[in-house]
Amino acid sequence: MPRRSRLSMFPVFLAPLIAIATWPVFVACATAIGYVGGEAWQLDAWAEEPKRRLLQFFLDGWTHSIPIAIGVGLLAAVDWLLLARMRYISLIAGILLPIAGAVASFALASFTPWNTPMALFPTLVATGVALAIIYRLCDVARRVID
Amino acid sequence: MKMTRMPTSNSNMCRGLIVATSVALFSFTAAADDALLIGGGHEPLRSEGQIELNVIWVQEILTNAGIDVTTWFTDGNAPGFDVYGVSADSDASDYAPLARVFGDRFLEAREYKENDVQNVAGSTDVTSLLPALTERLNTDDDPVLLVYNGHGSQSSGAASGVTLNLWNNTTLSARELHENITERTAPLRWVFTQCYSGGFHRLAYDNPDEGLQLTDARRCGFTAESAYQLSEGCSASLDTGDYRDYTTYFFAALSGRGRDGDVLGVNPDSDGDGITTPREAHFYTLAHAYSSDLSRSTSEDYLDEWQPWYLRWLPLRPELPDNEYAKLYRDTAAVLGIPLNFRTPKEARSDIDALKRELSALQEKRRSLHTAQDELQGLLIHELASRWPPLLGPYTAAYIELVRDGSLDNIVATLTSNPDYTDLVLLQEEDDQLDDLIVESERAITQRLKLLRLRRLAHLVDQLERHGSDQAKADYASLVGCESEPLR
Repeated sequence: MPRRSRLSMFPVFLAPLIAIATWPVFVACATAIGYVGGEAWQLDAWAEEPKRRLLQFFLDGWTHSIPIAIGVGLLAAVDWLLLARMRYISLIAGILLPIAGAVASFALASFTPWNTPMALFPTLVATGVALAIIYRLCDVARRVID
Repeated sequence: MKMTRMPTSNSNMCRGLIVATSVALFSFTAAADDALLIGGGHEPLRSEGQIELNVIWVQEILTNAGIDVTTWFTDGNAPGFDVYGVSADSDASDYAPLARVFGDRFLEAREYKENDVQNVAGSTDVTSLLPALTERLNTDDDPVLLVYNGHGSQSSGAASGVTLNLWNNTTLSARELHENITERTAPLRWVFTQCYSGGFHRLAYDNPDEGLQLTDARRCGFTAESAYQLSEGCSASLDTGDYRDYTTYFFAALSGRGRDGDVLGVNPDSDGDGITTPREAHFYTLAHAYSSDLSRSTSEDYLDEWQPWYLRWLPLRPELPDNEYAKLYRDTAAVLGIPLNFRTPKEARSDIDALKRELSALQEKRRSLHTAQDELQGLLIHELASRWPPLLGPYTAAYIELVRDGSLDNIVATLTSNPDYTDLVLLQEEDDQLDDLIVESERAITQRLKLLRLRRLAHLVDQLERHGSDQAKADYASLVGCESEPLR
């Protein structure tokens, strides 16, 4: 496959990858923040409830979050198209993901029953950062292959 | 009928007695709910006298409150031992040293007997209990309180698969009970105190296996534990004087008196309306039970199940909402001496980790003790069997001859003069002390878990108010209403 074609195919690969990773990364970030703060459902459930129940809730969340995850995947693709291919701007490639997390937490706090952005902000921004890291690693891998 | 009126001043015990007495007199003048009381173990070896005492106590409380109580207990009125007590002095028998070396010294301390429960309607064997229970629940239009005191088993599948372990080693699962009372339209409430009892909250739901749609009939209750955890009664050891199961606290709150008959030092009637509702009794239990039970009500189970996917995995906000669970949380933190600040959950978890390490060390030490005991027992048995081989066959004619010719006395004398036997006794006494420490550790861990759970419940109530659908809010309110309805 010519290099140009491979380049144009990358967002097609990146978007679903980020979409698939969104929920597990969100859960991992929420768990890490919960662990640091000492408070999260999964910390107790891990010790007190059967693992199959945890898995069931995890898969349930994964299924329900598909529309959001698709949006995050598309955002990653747009971010790559806008930022990753230019020499200096590429240093901040992936930035849209944590920004989207921050914006989402404030938007949800303004327009939904979450009336405090801090309930969501740390987890959503951390999720965005972690997804951005995955995206950058994929991009590095692409460059190496190229 | 009001279950009880508690004294408004904790310090004024005399006044409390007068009020409690006057309410007891008043209580007989009103109409009554029905109570179905099921109790006892599933076989004589697992039918502890403490369960019998609980059943007798609960029966007395409910009967004194004017409630019509129907009781099913172990083998019913059939002749034969169905309960065992534990002798205060397990070394009372001359042959106790033999039990220490050869058999189960705990079995040596047991005293089997027939149950002393009054007005027993029948056996809890599921073949006779289930038809009677089904008929009663499906035809009785009065509100019913279903109380179970006994053992339970876990489910490897859905929570509704948990079972009551009934007489003759029969079982009744939450799902089976649910399927058999579909015709019941009158209110049903329950108090289940067995291990894994939380699975019985599924009786409140339309589908026993999954979903959040409540039954048309009003149903709610209280359980000692979740569907996934052992309860206090299954703790490492069972010292009858230190038995602190859910029943002990819940019915003490309802009656206003502890098992010893003393008026409670704290008024469980939290809203001060003179009536202690089952929900208030549950809250009293949450606040005051120092046991290894992490008890829960159906409304709490509903909150756990309701939490939507987008909230479940998020860390909780540091700020505490203002509701009854938040108040309980603050009170529990004060009792545990954990300062209230943003680090409280972290500190509680650090405590839990430290206590778990301590518990693991104790369990490891107990394993070592058991190994050492086994070795000493093996040595002693070998020495005794070399001189008196029939000792190895306790059901043989040769053994009976040992008993008849008085050789057992010589054997005991030989045994007790052996220094290894003295070591064995010391090890077994250390083992007993270790059991107490293990139970204490489990209880201390549960108190911290309870603190975290109360905080979580405070947030769940807040989340339901913010994010719940109208239907979810109405269902939760209906369950709370059901739990708050006084027993009449």
